Amino acid sequence: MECTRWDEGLLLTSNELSEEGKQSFESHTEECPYCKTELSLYRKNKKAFFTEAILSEATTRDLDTKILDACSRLPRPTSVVPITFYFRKVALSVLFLAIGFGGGVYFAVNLDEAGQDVQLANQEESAAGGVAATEAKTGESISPGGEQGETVLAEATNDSAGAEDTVEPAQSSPRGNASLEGVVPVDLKDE
Amino acid sequence: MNEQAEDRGLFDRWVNGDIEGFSQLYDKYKNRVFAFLVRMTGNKELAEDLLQETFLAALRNSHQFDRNRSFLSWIFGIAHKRTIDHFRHAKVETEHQHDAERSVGTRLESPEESVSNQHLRGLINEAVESLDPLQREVFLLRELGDVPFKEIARIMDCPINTALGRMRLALRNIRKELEKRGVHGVH
Repeated sequence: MECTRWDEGLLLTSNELSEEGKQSFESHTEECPYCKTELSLYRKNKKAFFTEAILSEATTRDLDTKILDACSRLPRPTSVVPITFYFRKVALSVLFLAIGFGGGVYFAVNLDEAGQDVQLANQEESAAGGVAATEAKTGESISPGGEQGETVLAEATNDSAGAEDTVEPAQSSPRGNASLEGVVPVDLKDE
Repeated sequence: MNEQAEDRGLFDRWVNGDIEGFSQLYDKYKNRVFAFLVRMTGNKELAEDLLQETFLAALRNSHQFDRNRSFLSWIFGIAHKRTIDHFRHAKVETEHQHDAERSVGTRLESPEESVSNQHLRGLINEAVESLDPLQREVFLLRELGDVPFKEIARIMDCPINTALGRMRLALRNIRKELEKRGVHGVH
């Protein structure tokens, strides 16, 4: 009776089984007479009959000369193959290094600039905060007309509750590009 | 493994322009490849042409050689492809089978061989000739080219189990043929 595991025996003889597979099949042959016999016969036949001496076929000297001549006449484009192979590897490595280095430099420069921008912004902010505080303290009117002025004004208003009167002109100030032409001011308190 | 390293060394010499590297590889494997081609085609003259084509193709396509594979497997793959291409283009399968039948026995003779060895060679080769072409291909790739089954499956474009199945049948049929011819030791 044939065994379905005999294919593993063929793979064993061609060294295509893993170490685990080898051990598994070898222990199987201890229990399976079919595989044991087949493996033993195949090894015996391989040694006795399926040899190079029996299976191979000798070429003639004329044929050898003809083939070697034809091969030596061929141009050798392949001679540069290992060079191009290694060159390609080196070129790729250099390219990756260059990309990495370039990226690093780019980020370093940008981070530096960004740091400078942040510093400048902080300086401006602190300077503006100082002016607003000073203006709020002195009670001087702040010229309306822009968002920045409003922000500063609002901050100043929050800081000092007693400065509400000075805020009113800012409420009637035009916002952005909106035109106030033709708009009649209405006093809601009177109604 | 050492043989593979040695072949790789010769191959490197060859692709770097040293024809001696090629010459040594050719001398080492020419008989096996030639035997494969003779048995695949059944025609010695055609096998000679295909042998030349095989080595020229190897030389032209040396950049395609995967250095992790064995050189012999690679060259057998080329020889196999050349043979299949030849039959596809020429459509002479039937003709070559007739030629094969006529040529078996005559082409295997070699003057320096002993009569018994010659006789055994004849018997073995007749048994191989009697195989189904697909079984014969697997058997020759494995036994002459030492090509692993995984590679055989790739070369023949079939699953590895199919290649193993063909080898199993080939071995069984060769054994039967040899038994018929009175060769002992096969069973």
